[in-house]
Amino acid sequence: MDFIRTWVQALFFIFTNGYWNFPVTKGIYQGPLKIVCSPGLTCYSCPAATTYCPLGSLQQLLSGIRMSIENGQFFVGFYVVGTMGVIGGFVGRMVCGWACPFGLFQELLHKIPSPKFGIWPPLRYIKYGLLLFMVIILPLFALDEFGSGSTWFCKYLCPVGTLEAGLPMLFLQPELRTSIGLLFFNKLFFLLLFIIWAVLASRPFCRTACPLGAFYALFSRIKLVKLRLDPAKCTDCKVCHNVCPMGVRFNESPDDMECISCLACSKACKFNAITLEIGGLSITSQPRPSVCQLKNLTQATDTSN
Amino acid sequence: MCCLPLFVFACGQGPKVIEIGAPAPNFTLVDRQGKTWTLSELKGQVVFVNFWATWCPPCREEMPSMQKLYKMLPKDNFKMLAILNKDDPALADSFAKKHGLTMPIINDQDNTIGAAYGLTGLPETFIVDKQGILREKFIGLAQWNSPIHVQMLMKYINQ
Amino acid sequence: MMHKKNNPLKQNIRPAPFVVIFIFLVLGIIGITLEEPSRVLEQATQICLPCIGIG
Repeated sequence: MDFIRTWVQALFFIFTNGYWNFPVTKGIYQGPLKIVCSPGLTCYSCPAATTYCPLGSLQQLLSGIRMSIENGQFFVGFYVVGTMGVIGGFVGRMVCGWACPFGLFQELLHKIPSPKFGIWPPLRYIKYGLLLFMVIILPLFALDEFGSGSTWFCKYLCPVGTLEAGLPMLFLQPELRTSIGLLFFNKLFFLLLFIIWAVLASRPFCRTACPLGAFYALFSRIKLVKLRLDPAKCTDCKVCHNVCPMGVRFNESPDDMECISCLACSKACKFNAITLEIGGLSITSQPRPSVCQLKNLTQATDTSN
Repeated sequence: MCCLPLFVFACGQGPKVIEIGAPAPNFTLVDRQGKTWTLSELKGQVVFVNFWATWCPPCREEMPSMQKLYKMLPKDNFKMLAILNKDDPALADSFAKKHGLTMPIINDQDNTIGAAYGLTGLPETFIVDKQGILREKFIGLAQWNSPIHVQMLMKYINQ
Repeated sequence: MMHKKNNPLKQNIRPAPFVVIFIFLVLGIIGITLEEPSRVLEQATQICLPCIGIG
């Protein structure tokens, strides 16, 4: 399953960043595919980007909402939020584990040998604050003299924008280098912070700061495709705690908002207690050694210890 | 992963779309007032070509300073063209009205001029001298009525 | 001592995801009728450099 997931991640990376003519054009892709929403977080100002970033687009629309309404156009983000909601309703944060290029990037960084650390769980709530303030409230209400907002998350924080758009554009267009300032170094700081942190801890950006992940997390209970725990089979052996890249204790909270449905726990569970379900129907019930046998076996070893 | 070398190899190749010191790409377009502008017919005048869009905050931010510059410099040998890049012209009209912008606004809905000038992003500004040669390229926003920019433009105007 | 329960996993279809997907689908379609995709496209195909921290 891990192998399939890696391939799906690679395919989505190519799908959302599939324009490789940029070394010649020195600019970004400007074709019609950009009407399609990228499920994961990937900057649409990236030279290779072929789809739009839902967060970037939402901020742009919200920041210009007054101007468009004054002119009788209701560009208020229905299309973007609708697309995000449909994706969320289908798979929720499975996007993080299967389709997000920055998730893949962090996973690869985490493979670099180093001492590994956990992440203090309360930090996970930061991302909901970022979604609310940096993506919605500030672009909507912090207005300039022309009555429009700004793309706060993109402008001041987003490490994906720095990695995929800022740095490549500086490389492609050397004359841009004269115009970099404090804003850029601020964003570079966040990128470096998350890169170093991703080596030391698993998926720190997803767990603490990603507003898109925060949005999809709202669907954790109701999404169509999700993981299910069979409490009857669970022995509380806690093996799922250790393998989870998101720090979820799956058997204690099977509908956890942090779960990215990467199936690491399902694979690790010896008792087949964690299955993938679609709309209530279980779909992964691979033939495993009989549960009774395994349970008897572990209980035997438990009592012998 | 095996495609990564392709990225690296392709870098640094390819023709440059536009060069400082070369003739500026010509265009003919009608502004929002219905006046036709052809760049090649503006020889003998310094032309200030600004690319913008109403949704781009820094583009809006530099507009008042552009308006001041437009008022300040002599009309007979300085022309300012604000080219609206892939945007709704109605939005630009109401923006111009609201903020008292009087320079010609040209609608480049299909990005044809933008592509010819090899835009990196918005806002972006080009200065074309009296001979139709591209002299300056500014990426990002600027305070256009500041002395440094006025001096730079006066230098080309007095050439 | 735990006993394996013999009742199988419940195979009831959950209606909630379909309701949510439908609501957002309608929202998206409203957005499409308001011609929002063309605005998204306009903004997605041009970089606002200062918006991403350059310039």
